[in-house]
Amino acid sequence: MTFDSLTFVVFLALTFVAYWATPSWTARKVLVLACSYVFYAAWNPFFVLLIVATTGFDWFAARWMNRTKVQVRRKAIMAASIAINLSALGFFKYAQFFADNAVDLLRVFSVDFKPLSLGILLPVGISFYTFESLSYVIDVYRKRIAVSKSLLDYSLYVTFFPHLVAGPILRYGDFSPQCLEPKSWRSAPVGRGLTLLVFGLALKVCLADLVFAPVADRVFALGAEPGFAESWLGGAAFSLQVLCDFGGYSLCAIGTALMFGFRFPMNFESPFGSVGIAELWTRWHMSLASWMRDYVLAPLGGYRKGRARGHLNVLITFVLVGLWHGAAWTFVLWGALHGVFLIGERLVRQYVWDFTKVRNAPARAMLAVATFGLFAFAAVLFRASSIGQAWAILTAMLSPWTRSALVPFEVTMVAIVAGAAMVGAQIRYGHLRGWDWLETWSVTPRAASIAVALLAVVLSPGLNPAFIYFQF
Amino acid sequence: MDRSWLKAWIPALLACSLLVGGYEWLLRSRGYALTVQDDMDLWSMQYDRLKLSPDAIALLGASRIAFGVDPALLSRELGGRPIAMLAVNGRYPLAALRALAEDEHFAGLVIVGIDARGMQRKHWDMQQEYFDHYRRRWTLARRIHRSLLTFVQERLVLARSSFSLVNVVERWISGVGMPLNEHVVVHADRIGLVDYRHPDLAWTRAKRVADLEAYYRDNHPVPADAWLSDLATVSGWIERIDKRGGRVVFFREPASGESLLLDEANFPRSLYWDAYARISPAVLIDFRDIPELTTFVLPDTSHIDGTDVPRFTIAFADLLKRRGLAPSSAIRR
Repeated sequence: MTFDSLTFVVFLALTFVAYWATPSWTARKVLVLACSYVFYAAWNPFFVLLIVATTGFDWFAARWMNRTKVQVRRKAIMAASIAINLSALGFFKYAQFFADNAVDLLRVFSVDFKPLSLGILLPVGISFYTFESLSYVIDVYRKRIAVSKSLLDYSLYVTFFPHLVAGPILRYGDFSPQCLEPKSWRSAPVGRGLTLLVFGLALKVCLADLVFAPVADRVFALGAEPGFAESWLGGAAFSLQVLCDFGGYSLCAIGTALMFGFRFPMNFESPFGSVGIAELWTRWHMSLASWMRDYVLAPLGGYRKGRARGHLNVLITFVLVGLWHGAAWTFVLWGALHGVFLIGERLVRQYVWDFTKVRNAPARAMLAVATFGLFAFAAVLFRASSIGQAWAILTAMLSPWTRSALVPFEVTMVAIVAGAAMVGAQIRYGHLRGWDWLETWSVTPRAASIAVALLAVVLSPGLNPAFIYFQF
Repeated sequence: MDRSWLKAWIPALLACSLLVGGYEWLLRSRGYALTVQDDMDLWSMQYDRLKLSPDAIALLGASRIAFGVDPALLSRELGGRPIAMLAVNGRYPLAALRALAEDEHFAGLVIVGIDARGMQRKHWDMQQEYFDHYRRRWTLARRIHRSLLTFVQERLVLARSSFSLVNVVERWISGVGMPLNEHVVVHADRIGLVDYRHPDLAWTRAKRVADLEAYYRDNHPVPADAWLSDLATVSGWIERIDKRGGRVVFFREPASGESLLLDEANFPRSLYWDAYARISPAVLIDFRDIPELTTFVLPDTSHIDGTDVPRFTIAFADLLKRRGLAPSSAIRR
């Protein structure tokens, strides 16, 4: 069940009415939890058992760990929990990838082995809820948060349907206080939530699916041989498509949660207004970036153990960011390239020019466009179906003499105008964080923006492709 | 709920309703008719109908079946047996036959609308992605969505993807005007009714013939012996269905004029269709052998007009009954 389906409209309406009509706070939480399992079962009922099992295991493991005073035993419990969560993720997401690579490796040594087809179905959202579970257990181990006394609250943290399948990746420390305070219809930001939900849908169904995807799909089609201009166009269009698709999904999740009185963290904040890749990663998929910072980069030592080790730590972290996105070498290389960008940026800022200190608006705008260009360059690895295809397109991006005509003129024009407007707006208004500024608008601009978003949704009847991040 | 948001939402909804209503009126005034938009989910809903009864009827084929046989009327004519319209416009159906052979629960009647060209091995997989979609992505949630979408599309012209705001803007930029009126009304059970009374008929007919000429120019027919040899595999699929008590009928639907001449020049009936009829475990029916099926006018040389669909369906049902191919459920029991 995706946010842009009519099934979700019915599901949300029924859940919303039942939630606010239920007087008891505990009963409301039970209701939302049950509805969340129904929401998840819509993809594959079998995997509800998996999520229930891992939720229960982690909750009990954390409580056991909390009761134990012996440090070695605490560590062992945490390690067991991490191992079980990562084993489930590894089996469902990476087993086929490792099997394929093992077969390829054996072939290098002239051992011919029949390729294995494991036929494993990937549970939707497993990468997201596994990371939420891991952060909870690790934070309890580190005594940064109090252990959950309520299995209901913890289950809701893992399973609450708006964030269940594609984030934002929540932290229990942010979510648990919200489970303690009963929500009131009068004070709940329902109108704002509904508005964000519609804004998110407009980004997804209009801009991602109808404006940017048709460009990216043509440039990255198998057998297409894009030239210089269309390769850049494809990389840029795909970057904007992911922003509108995943950013749109995140906005839907944040808006839906608000309708139930829950607040989720922001996941995207004008990333293409960033000056430098380091800043971009503070605005792009923020919940994953901060998770990686806290649970991978920091434990590795960050830059505390010297410059060279710091660079290596950044590279390792971003290779894992890439691998988190998908079991393919293209994703690994995408992550590695971002790691290289970050290391290179750090060196440039240290030894050549600290461009982040530029205050002149046109110069900052040019730097932001250059940052977007780097992101679009790397995005080729994210979108390409093979390393060979990625190599061909990346080579074309560096070959100004190559030409192609894959994308019709009118499709190109619409994408360029929409893309320029989006990037321009993010550069101009990138300093506005969150959505609180929306509250400062008077009724007229609010009504106008809602009407435009509603029209964009209603007048974008497409073929309902899945959200890109559902595959992760 | 905060009143300031309520005050914003009410005028927004009003403005949106007015603009959407105006757009709908504009589209209708330009002659666009209400139609359900066919897709893999709508196809999957039809595939689910095969589970209603072990002796259900599967209608396979391409546009000639999809625009020629009314499943609801055929079902009534054949004593109420459930019928699934699985034909896909523009795609030959042998992948569907293979999938039904692999479906151990299916033991019904398969009607395969096809010609010798569509039986070439290179066309076998054209409908495979529909089955892949059914096996991998078809869920209850999609079923609910598709049912609701069908409900909306039966009431709003603008609910078709070709009328999206982005598509209209792109067409305006390229100077081609509003989307082409295809003059096909598709219903929830996937029957498509073509209206050939429109003024573009001469263009439609000329384009169809030109497309077929181009196809044969670029795709030389497989020699008859190789074609027959490949069909041994297809015979295996048919035998699997036969063993479970099902039947398979290959039906060469009506064609006329240049289309029929081109087909016959490239795939002479005696060398291809009739040769396979002699060795096939399926029943093969060529429309030219059935006098009542040769009386239909095919305005574009390949498809009947929507107004002829009931008459054609009844004639086809009579043919099946005469041949003993579709006894009703009651009789079978």
